[in-house]
Amino acid sequence: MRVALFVPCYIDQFYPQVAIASLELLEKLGCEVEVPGNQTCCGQPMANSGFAHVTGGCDANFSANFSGYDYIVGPSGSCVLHLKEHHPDAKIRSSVYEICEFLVDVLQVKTLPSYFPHRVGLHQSCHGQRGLRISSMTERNEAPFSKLTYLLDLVKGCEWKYPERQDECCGFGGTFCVTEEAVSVKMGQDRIQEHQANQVDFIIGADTSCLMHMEGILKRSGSKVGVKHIVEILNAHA
Amino acid sequence: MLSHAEASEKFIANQERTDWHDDTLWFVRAKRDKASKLIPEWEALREHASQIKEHMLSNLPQYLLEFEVNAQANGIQVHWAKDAHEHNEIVYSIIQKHGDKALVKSKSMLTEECHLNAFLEQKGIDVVDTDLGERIVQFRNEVPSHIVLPAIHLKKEDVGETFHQHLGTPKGNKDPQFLTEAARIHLREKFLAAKVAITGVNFAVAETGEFVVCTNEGNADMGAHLSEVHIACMGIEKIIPKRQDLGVFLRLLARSATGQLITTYSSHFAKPREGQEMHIVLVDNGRSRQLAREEFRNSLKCIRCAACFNTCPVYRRSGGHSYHQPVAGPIGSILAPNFDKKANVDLPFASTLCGSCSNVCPVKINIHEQLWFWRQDLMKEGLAPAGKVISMKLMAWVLSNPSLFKWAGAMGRKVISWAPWLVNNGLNPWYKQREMPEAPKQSFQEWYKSNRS
Amino acid sequence: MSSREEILKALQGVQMPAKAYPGTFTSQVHGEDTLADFLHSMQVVSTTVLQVQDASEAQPLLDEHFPKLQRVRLEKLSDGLSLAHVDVLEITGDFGVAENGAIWLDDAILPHRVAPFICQHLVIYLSKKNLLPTMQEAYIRLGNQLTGFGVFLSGPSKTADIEQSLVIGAHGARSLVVVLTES
Repeated sequence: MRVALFVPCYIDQFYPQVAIASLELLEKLGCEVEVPGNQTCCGQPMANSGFAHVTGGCDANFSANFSGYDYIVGPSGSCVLHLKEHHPDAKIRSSVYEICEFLVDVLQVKTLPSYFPHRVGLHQSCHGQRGLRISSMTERNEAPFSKLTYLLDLVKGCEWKYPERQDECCGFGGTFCVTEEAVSVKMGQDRIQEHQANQVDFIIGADTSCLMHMEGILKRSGSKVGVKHIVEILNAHA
Repeated sequence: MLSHAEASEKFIANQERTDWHDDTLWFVRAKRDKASKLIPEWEALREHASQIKEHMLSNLPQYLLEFEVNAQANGIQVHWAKDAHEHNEIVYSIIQKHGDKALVKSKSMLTEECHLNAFLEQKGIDVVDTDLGERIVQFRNEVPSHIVLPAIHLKKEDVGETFHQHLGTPKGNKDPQFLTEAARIHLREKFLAAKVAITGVNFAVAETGEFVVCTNEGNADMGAHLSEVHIACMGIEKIIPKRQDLGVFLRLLARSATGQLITTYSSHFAKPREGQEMHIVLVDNGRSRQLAREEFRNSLKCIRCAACFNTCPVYRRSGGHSYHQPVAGPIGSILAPNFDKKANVDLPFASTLCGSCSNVCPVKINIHEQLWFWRQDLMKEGLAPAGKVISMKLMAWVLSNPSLFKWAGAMGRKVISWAPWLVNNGLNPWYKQREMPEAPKQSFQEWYKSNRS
Repeated sequence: MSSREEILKALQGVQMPAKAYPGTFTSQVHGEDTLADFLHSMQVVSTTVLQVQDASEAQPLLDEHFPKLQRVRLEKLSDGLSLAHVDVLEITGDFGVAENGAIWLDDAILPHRVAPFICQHLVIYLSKKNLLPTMQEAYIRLGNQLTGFGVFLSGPSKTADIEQSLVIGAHGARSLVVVLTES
């Protein structure tokens, strides 16, 4: 099984530990992982800003880096959803996976050797949740399910909590976070408040962009609560 | 006019009020969840409702004609208005024929869209909005901030003060029960005196030529049944093919809107009362244009329940007036650019694209996808500020060139660690209330090169 | 060209794929006990229910419920305004819907269209035999018979337009009593 690790641009630049954990975790689970060296960005920041018409170069570069793999796996629901919905190449669209859905649906992970003795607050990033259907949503009348909590339950010592509003958006929203700064920050503050009420050590999720936004707010308020991508927990060991 | 972002910033400045607004509407969303989950076939109902509406849209002219024939056979006078102005003129000419100077009007978002009140008031007609929330905002010279809960931006203190000024209630009395009673007495007088009543329309049935109006207060019925002339105003997309379709829509509407089982009154008007005149005005006002826009045509399925408002994390924290449109919220943001792209260019961007709206929508409008499509449409039309075009093109260029990306990324991280004042300042909206992420020494690709190859 | 023609022409000019009519909705799930569901809905919509054998049995109960108010039953009348001072109006409902407590009233049984709205309090007599589970059954029962005006009425008039505080008795009836008879 040839797996290509897709490392979104901002993770590459600002959160290398998330990419390292993804790589190590996939290898630990028996995947032969390659990291295409000239990858950059999926094109989402431009497309969500209304500039999908200028993302041709990004799309071409993505194809040049990721064609020919069985699976393309990335630690970002939002970027993966963008590729699934908008990349011009059907083969890319059908072979790209968010890492947790890949673990559950493709690798069908039943156990993990992980250990993370902390209480964490689970943020369900919208694009992974409602877009990729990584978990059920409170809007619909459907049986509850979650690929994220399924995986977290395999981690020894880890206690996870939902915030009171289980799946409300954190307010990141791509360029929304700067063009609608006031609403964006208010949304983030409200999410954080609910996680803090649960006395969590970390806010975790499957999308680093949401976490980056909440981390910025947490740090400004001097909070001790940290943020971690879920793969960092799944990859953690004693 | 303030942009959505500017108006939101002002709204949020009152933190306590914002939290109240957010919590109150979230509570309505929670009631909607509870009501919908008591119906095991809820998702099947949504799908069915969506299919009825899509079928209707693909046969709209036939159904309009069928409705016209049947309504006329029932004794209803049918009028057609291609735009807001013609709608207002038609309504005015009917009023004029009866020589009346006052009328009562129940809630109709279409008349808000057409700015009917302002038009009639200029002609010297006293329009009395009879929905309690609408009467409150009318007294205050405001517009509704929510299509189902028009005065949700106000607190009871505000209403108490407004009623003190306009109805002479005791200063400082802010008891909702008392204030509602005051409005009941005040509006009863108006109902008993009015010869002309205007109502909106929730559904118009092609097969029977009847129309249905839903209220909780009973104000539409009080107006219509006491009046000599009843004028019902509707957008052409309110047509449904068959009477049995009402079974589907009435099960969805109130549950989606407020979590109620059904509105208190679901009134079916088929024929005028003896001696009464009944008119219906069918209004296009841009709907045929929206129908022709493939990506946006489904917005016309909307039944105006406002579930998307209540669930929207942006709406709840920015208030309805920040959308500067009669229909606010996510649905308003996909309807508004059809009327005026330039004036509403900010609205499709007033969303994180979280997708909650599309999933509460009882007729399954893909609202968040349409927001995305409007963004593309508006930017392609050149409605972006110049700076945004340059930065997007620059970003696309950098991100299409791996070596340039690596260089720019390394430079960026160096800037953040060596010269943080360049990004940590008031000109960077990120930094205003958030810290920048820490810049690691190595990017992942640099780490990979030095550790794995 | 008239606006009517202009609108129709614009609509007819839109090229779009045909979408089939989905037919009658038949996936409704019925509760196990229609009467119990109806009673529950009545409670949700703040309505008092008197379960009796027949209408006569309800009279002392209604006397007790409205000790000071005069109850009237009216024949057809043409003047709606004259109803403004009716305290308690008694009418007979056609049928009720268990899932939402809605009761169908129409021109065939109303003394005047405004009657159930303008009276201060409303009493509706309804036979237990005329309870249907959902709105789907309700519209099957209605068919395409038109009397001119009909209303599904569920509970007394209400509003929550001031701070979302529920207030019963907005413009319509301030209270509703449903007399549920066996016959």
